[in-house]
Amino acid sequence: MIAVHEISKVYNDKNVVDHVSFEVKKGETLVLLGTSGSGKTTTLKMLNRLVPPTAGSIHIDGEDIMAEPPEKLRLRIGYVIQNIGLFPHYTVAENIATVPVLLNWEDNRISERIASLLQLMGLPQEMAERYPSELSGGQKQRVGLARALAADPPIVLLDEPFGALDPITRRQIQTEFKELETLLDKTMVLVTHDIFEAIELGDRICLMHEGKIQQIGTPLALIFEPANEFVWDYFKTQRFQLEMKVLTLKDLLPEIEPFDSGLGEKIIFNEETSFLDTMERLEANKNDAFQIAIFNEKRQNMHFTRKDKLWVAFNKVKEKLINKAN
Amino acid sequence: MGVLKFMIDNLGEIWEQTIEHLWITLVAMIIATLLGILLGVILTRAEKLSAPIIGLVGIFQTVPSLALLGFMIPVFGIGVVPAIIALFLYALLPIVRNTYTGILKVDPAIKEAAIGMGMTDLQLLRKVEIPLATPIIFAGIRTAFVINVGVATLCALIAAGGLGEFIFRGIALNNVNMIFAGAIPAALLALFFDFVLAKIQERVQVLIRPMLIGFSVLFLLVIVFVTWGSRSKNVLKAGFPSEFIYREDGFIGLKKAYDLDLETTELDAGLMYQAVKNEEVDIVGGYTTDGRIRAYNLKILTDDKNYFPPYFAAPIVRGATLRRYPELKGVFDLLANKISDTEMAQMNYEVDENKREPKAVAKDFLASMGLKTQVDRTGEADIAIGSKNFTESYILAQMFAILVENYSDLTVSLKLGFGGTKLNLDALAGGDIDLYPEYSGTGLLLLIKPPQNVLDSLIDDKDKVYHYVKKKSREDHDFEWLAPLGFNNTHALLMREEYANEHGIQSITDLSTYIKSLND
Repeated sequence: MIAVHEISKVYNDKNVVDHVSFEVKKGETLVLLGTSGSGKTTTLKMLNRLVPPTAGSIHIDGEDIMAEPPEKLRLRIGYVIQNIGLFPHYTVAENIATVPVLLNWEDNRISERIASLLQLMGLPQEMAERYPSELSGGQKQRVGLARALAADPPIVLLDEPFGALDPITRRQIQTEFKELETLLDKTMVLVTHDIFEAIELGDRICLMHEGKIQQIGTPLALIFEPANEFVWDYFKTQRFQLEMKVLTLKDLLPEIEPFDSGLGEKIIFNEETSFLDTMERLEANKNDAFQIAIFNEKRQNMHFTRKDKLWVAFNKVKEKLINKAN
Repeated sequence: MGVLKFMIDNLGEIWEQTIEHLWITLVAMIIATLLGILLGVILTRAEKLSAPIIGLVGIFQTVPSLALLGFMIPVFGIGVVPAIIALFLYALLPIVRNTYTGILKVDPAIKEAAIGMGMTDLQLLRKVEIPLATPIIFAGIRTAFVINVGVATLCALIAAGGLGEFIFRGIALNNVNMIFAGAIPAALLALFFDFVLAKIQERVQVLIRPMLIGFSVLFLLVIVFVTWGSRSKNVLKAGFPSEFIYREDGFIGLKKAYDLDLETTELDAGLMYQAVKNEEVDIVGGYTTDGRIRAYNLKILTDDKNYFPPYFAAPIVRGATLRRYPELKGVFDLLANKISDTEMAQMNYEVDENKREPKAVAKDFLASMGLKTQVDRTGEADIAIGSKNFTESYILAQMFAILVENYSDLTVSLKLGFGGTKLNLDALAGGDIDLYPEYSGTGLLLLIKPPQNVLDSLIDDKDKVYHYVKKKSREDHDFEWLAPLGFNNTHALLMREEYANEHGIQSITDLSTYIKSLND
């Protein structure tokens, strides 16, 4: 879908982005992760030509993005930025309608689209006539996302989309974001410096430092198979939590010893849940004796077990992965 | 109360001037708003040009208003057009600068979002930047508007009309009511616009669009109107300072005495000579000893019916000052009848055309009379000498100062350039100045203001006028007139010499005959 080949950006003789290549498959979410100055935002902005590359090429669906006027390209790509950049002189509805209006949609179609997006984002319909200054941070963020999705673009670029939110709202919106059905088939590139956000939202992570890609791969690969010392060091301080975060219950299943007393209440988990989130939820219950039920998307293949057995499985899987990497 | 009565009596003319005033200001503002916004927008797209262009536009604003009007005359002549151009240049800076900064100050995140979503530059400008910069742009328009209602009063000086006519005429004629009749409506107009624009500002996002569309329509109408109205008529045009037009001993009487049919416009005395030289007008009203008559190749038309009253120059002194320093009388006797018309004209010419300092010219003259000139005191002043704001008055004031310091123990300070007779007389009465050069005819008509029958009995005889003025000034105002200097600087009609010779015009009677022949 998106093919980036050897792009570089030079500002004042400094290689801000240095020969970067990657591909993003259709429907995939790629996270560009790195500290500030790593070149991740510049890389993102080259995808919709907000920043012209010094060298290299970018193709979308096989076509060179330089082949058409930048405005036409951008109309097909959703764009969400950290400060959201809602137009203060437009109502929520007018903000959401920005791209459809640029595309000359009919009025009916636009108002239907606004209504469905508000519903999708969990915003009340009467919010349509409010101005951005009357909204909370989380509401602004949702409107910003609705605006980017208004014309149903196949590609969405997000630059630190949750950066301006407080930690609690951010966590909540990240979860909602992940579960948004409209986003399931979107090809997305997301820039962040938040490691947990990267693991939570990314199918693959591209870790950048000083304009170069250090490693590109699944969250699991980055944690357990670091390509170099930089990658290892980057995750070092939060290593344990991250290991818990990248492993899902599904990853642990082969090692989980079943336990089924057949009695009492059970706590039910989707097998896609990370081990970290599972433990956090169990912590809240304080009762180690609770039974745990794990199932897949289709509610098939129920597995029953107990908290202590999960820990055993986690340690075994982790050991195997580390051994494999060495 | 006098003001109110005067205003009611002259309601028609005040209304007419208010309309002229509004018209000039509005047209200038419309052009400035449209072009100013356009220029401001262009500068945001060509940022390298912004510093030099905003600097250049800023220079117009630093040029004193009257000087700017002066620069207009050689290029655009006199009348409404140069006035509008000058006001336009004044209004440009606030509008251009506010448009430019207003657009640049739009939150970069908002601009990035707009561009990132696929807006073209024009869409960005129209949908995001201009709407968000509108409050700042409008503040610029409002500032410019209110400034221009004030500056437009000066346009009366280049024959563009407006409320300035009353103000300058009032200053010239020592008539406070007349000054107020111009100043009050001008101030009210400024307040009115400020109020209306403030109201618009509250709802500017909604109102700016209809306002700009309205401006554009008006702008087109103005162009049509100006093109249509510029077809000229074949009449001789005269430009006179407002004082001359409205004085009984000026054009009003002259018109009756010679049956003159002239189209007159008001012109600042300083700008008048340039205007006649550039053939903007054909006749101007000047003074017989003016140095520029020679410099601009003008001809004085003979006053063959002896219409103009005598204007013999003499120092006018506060009574209190003369009682304290009686030696002043003796000092000025030294100058009695010492300066002829030609000599005074020559001195004016030295200053106006050879650009010499009035003080140097005055000193040379005194020296040529064999008088002492070397003493030049500084320090605590005993008396203050004033002058009016034209060359001859400056030279005479300097001459008086040198004379007083050389022939008495008094130290002199100079307070020069009061605009108009009224300001000098007020300064003299208030003790701000102790003496200044004045003319017998001016004293008669503006200070004493005798009834018509007395005036008629005096006006032909220069000695009678002087003695009558001297006596009445002492009795009514405690002002003393010292010995006349000798020359008579009376009013005169001036034409381009070439033009006058071509049509055989030597006297005012010839002029009257010539005009009649044109109209036949």
